[in-house]
Amino acid sequence: MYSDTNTIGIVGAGAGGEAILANLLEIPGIIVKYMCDINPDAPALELARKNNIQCITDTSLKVLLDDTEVDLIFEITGKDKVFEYLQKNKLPGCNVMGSAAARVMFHMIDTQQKITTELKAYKIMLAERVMERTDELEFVNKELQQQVYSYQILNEKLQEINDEKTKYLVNATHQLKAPFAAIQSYVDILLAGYADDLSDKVIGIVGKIKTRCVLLSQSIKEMLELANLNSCIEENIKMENVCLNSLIAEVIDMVESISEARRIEFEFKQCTGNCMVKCNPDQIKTLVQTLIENALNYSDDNSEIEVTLIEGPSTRVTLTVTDHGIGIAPKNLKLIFKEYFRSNEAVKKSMNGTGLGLSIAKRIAQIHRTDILVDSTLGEGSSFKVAFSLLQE
Amino acid sequence: MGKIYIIDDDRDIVDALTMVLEGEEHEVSCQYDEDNAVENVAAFSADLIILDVIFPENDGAGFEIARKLRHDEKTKDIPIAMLSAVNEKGQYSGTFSNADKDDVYLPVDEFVEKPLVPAELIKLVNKLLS
Repeated sequence: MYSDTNTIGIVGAGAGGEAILANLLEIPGIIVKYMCDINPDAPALELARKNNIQCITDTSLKVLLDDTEVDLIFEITGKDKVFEYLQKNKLPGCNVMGSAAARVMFHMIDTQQKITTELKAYKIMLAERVMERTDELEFVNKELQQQVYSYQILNEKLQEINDEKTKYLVNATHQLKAPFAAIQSYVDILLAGYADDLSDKVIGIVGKIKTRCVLLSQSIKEMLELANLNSCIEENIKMENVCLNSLIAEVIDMVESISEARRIEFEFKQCTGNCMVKCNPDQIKTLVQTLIENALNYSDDNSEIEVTLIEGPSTRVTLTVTDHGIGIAPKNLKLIFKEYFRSNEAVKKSMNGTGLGLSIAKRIAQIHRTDILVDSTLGEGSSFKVAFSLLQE
Repeated sequence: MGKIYIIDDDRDIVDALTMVLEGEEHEVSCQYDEDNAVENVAAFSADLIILDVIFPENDGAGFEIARKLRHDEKTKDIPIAMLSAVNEKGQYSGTFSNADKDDVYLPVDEFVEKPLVPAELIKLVNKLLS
């Protein structure tokens, strides 16, 4: 018969019996009902009394043997005679366990208890570690939140600085351009004859003032444009879907009067495939205009300039502007994109250059995640290439 | 010929514009600040307004004046040519052009960068007066 509780009697209250009793008291579901020893001063008896366990000191052990509640008797005296006596007189439902078997069982219980204790300790340790890690994660999380907050503050400050810079640029532009516009207006009035007739000599001189005015005006514009491009927040640049065929044709139209006057022919081979790109149209117009105006400025009259737009390589569309002009010396190929750099050949060919056009074009290319490649032979001409990422359909 | 009203704080620019416009026999009047622009334009019975953008105490005064002129019954139909030495949009990246004209932000008929050579000025004025 199986029961949730076991009622036990222990015979032998020496040191062994005391150890067993102490162990059994710890195990739930086990009731130690009797502690037996002929020596009334045996150590386990004292412990039994403290735990309200009935103590038996007579040799017959009749009370123990006749108790139908007792399932198991531990014989701890180590005496064969006692074991045999108990076996012989026990009730049929009761088992007797000798000291050797009891030791094995208690060793198992002890081991189980140790494992349980270790498991408990391990569980506590794990809980502590989880707590520690949770604390660490909370700390890291707080730090991250702090950093995110710091970045937001920094970003706001950068935005403020950028706004200040923009305001400064607009003010600087106004301070430089407004008086200059007045000077140019008067020069134009003189040249247009609104202030009496001028001698040819004066007209010649005023014409030179006008030329330098135009050049200075262009320099101011490009300096400010480059400053603006160098300090702009790229994410704020407005991007649009643009057809490069149309944009390039528009730029070629803009320079048509100059090219016609110099009998320079533009051969524009438009892209027959996809040429839609996502870009800032104003900036790309400036880039294309720079390449085309450079080709014009450094070409001889009665020459040809080829502009081609071809789909490829891969998911790109490539613009090539090729002239047959003065070309670039190998030592200057890297320098042409440097701010204010102008080669001797370039200055000889065209006085009216600021040395900023290609720097601006290069920066615009960078903003659009591309680059300008140049191939040139001094005295034979140059070819500039830019590959733009196609708009993904 | 037309009656042209110039609003610009730069007296040299106003004088230069006046020389050309009077040379073409237009009647010109002007003011050098942003005050009472709507009333002054109406009192002059202007056919065309030439308007600057930046004034000493207000960087965007020209835009505000343009909006006021557009919202006033007496001046709403008078064409406006906005002339400015500064055409940088600042944070908008790029430059102003006629493509930026709109009823709210840039409610003008033409946006032109200074300086304007006499021939272009005459062409612009004739276009807006016709």
